[in-house]
Amino acid sequence: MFLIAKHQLRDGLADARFLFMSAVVLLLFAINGFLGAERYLQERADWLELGAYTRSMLESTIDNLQRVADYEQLMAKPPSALAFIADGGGALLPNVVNVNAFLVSNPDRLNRGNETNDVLPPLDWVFIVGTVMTLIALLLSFATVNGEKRDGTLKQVLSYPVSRLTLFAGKYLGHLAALVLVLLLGAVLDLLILTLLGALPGEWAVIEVVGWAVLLSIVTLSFFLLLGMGVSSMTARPAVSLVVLIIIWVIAVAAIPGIASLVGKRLAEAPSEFTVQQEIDAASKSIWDDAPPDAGRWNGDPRAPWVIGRAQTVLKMVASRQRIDDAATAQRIGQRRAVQQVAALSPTGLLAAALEEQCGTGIAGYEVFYRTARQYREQLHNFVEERDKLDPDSPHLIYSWERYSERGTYSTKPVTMNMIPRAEALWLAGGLARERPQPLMPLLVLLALNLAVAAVAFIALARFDPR
Amino acid sequence: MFVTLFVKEVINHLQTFRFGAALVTAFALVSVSAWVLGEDYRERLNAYNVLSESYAAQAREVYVPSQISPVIHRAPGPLAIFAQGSEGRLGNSVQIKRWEVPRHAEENLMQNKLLLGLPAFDLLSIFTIVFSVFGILLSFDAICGERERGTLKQVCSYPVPRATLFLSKYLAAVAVLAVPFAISLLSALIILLFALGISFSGAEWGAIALMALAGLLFAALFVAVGTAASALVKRSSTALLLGLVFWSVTVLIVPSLAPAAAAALVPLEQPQEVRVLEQKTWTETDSAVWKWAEDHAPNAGSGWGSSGFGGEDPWLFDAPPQWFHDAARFVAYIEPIYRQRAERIWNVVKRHLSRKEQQSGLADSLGSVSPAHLLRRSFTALASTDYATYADFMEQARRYRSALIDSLANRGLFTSKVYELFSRRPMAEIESESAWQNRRNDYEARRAAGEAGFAMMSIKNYGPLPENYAPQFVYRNGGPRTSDALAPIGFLAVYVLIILAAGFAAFARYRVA
Repeated sequence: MFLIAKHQLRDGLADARFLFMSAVVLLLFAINGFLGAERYLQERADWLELGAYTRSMLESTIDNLQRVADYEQLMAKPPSALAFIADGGGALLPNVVNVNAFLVSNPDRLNRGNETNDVLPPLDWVFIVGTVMTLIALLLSFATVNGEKRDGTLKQVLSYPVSRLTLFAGKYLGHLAALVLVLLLGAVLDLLILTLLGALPGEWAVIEVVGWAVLLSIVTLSFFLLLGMGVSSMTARPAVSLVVLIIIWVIAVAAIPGIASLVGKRLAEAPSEFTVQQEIDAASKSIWDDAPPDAGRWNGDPRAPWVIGRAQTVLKMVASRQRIDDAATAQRIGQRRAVQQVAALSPTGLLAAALEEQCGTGIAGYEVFYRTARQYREQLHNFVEERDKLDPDSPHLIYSWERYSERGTYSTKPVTMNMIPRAEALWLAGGLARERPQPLMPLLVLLALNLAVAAVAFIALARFDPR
Repeated sequence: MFVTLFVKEVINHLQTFRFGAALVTAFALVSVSAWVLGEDYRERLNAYNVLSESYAAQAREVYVPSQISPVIHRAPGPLAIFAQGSEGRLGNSVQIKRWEVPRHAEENLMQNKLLLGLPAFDLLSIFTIVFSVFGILLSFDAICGERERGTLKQVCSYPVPRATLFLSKYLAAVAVLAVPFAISLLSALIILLFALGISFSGAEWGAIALMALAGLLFAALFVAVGTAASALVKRSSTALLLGLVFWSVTVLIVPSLAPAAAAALVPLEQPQEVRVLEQKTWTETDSAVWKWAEDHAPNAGSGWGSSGFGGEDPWLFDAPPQWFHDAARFVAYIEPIYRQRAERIWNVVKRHLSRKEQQSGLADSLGSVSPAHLLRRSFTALASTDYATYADFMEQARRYRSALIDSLANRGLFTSKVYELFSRRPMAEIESESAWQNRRNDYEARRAAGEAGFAMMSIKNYGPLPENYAPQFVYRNGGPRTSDALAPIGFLAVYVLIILAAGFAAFARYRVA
């Protein structure tokens, strides 16, 4: 079997056309390295500068705890160093939110993405492997069996004292070895460029993710190889198998991910901004209507007896707003995930979903970001509460009215910068080494697909009439 | 002679597996897509109608000029089914605010901000991939295949110039590919018109016709590539590979590479420059303004000023007339300051925006090497979903805002008659103590009776502003941008001719045996 594999591999490597295709792939990996490095370094510089700006703005509020609590920090999602593997639509997804001690709001996009451009698939590993190399896999294998039949060499090969299984496995391994060789070369080239340009942190987590990416890529390519071999055994002429395979490829790589966005929107509902705003307004209005009669009064005295009622009403309104916002966000995330799952019906979509999860980009990254923002708000609020407890002069009514704390209802004492919890600490605590589920499910699905196609292909080969 | 050859080639093609596969695939994919896209369009149109109804209702609830903040919007067009372009990615509605120049449309109609970043899916993407691939598949063995079969010697021995041979093969392949093209386009139109009840205007039909022409040219281009490839090499598998390499570079790689290259060549400025400037400007202006208020209008209160306009709100009833006067004076003071601030911020935003446009313009030019990109440009221009249409809409929005502010200023609302901005009660009534007392009693009584919505009740005594109080926005929809589409279509035609010429030059020297 290995003899056959070696033979197949050598044939492949000697083929000028295969070498040309490999050169194209290697070029793509190199481009991915350069562009990915530049983009990551720029985004990281931007993120650091935004953090510095937020810090300086925060510094101007430390004379008064209330101002610290009110100041809406722009909290930004740090760029993922692994975005070169799976971009996940990073340039257009929201990546900042406003956070103060009371509310997480207004997710927005603040990066160098250009929304005036058309949205096209980015040149990440998912694209190079899932789109380009799968096509190459099909081109390698579409004539494995019926091509040899046409050339007349199949009869010869089948007359050897080797079982058809060995033959099958040998050809498969040979093709796979050629593809894996190109993949590994490209990956190494890419990683080298990234490291030399300083865009790849030297952490164990990076190696782990890259390892998973390579493994999942190999399994995906293997699927398309087996598919090619199978169709090659089921059709009489290579011209026919080629057309069939290209149709399958177009459906898997273009049609399914494309339709996924429209189908996913129907499978999972998500409210529009307008609906959410209406819901918030209605909830606020009903809370205000049930409020104690003096809730609308404010004459500047934080100790007036009616202020307690006002504080409670405001807290209820803010809580309901955050609840509605969170529910809407969860639904929107759910909708995007539904789109991802429909796209995962195709092996390319499955690869994309699994790798986005690993790299912390795309919707997986956004979920983590939103959760971290909520965490940070909790931290800020706890901090304000603790400082307020230490202040004997404060009426201890911690609330804010229309994003501004009414003066004096809680502590207005100054604080120092290093007392205030910082969002960066949360990111550094998480970072690349955060808990990330291993992509076992996608791996298993891909392996199962491989087995299924291999079985069908082998049966077809077993029944193939070489005459 | 040409006709005989042409007919022979066509009949041959019609009997191949690839033709059948092309027919079935194109028909199936286009029909399914047309159905899904049509349904999606209808949903978006429904959502738009609901939204515009509520915008209109909101506009009817405007009781005082200070509440005038209309939302202007444009409807989704059915041609977005053909080319999504910027539809759904860039917004359709803008809220006009006195103190902010509209910089981008809100994505209100888009259900979910988190669905941004997904590649556009429309009939254009299906046409692009299916007809380019089949164009190559139908023609890659036109010349070298015949050579391999041994019949090329025969054919070339006829007293027919090679040009005729070449053209007959090429045009036959194009004609054959035009069949699935026409059938799938027809099927899409039938589904849209009859199954989904979507109708097109006259100009839109013209746009569809031009799109069909562009699509045919695009398919013809790839047939030319296949034919040229087959005339360049001896083995058909090499020709196929050549064709597929051209295809993957121009359809897959260049369109994704062009924006990245443009981003490297025209890097954008710091994204937070605008945000930071905005926050800084707001803080500066606010502190200066409140300092003035402390000295000149100490009773202006926290609800007055930037967004909370008092007027008919309940807290007014707790306030003595002097507070109302202070607040009005305060607003008269801040109005020009805030307008200036809006212009300042807009200048920075404009700079950023024009740089982005520069970058995408460069990406456009770089991408024009790819026929897929040219097709996309022509389709989006014809469907009026390109960026230029959006930019035009935003310009109209900005001009409307200026017109609105000017009309309010012409009524003197920001100077002597500033009270009218908040209240339509006559000034005499505001100033007479008894009127205040009556209002307060009335308010307390309603509150005691448990009536909800007291905030709006007093306003209801006066009714909404008349509809022609402020100028209305009318969207001047330019329709399909035919002139913008002619350039890419022209390029496509030139591209086809160049490739054909190259192919023919190769065939003229082709070794037949």
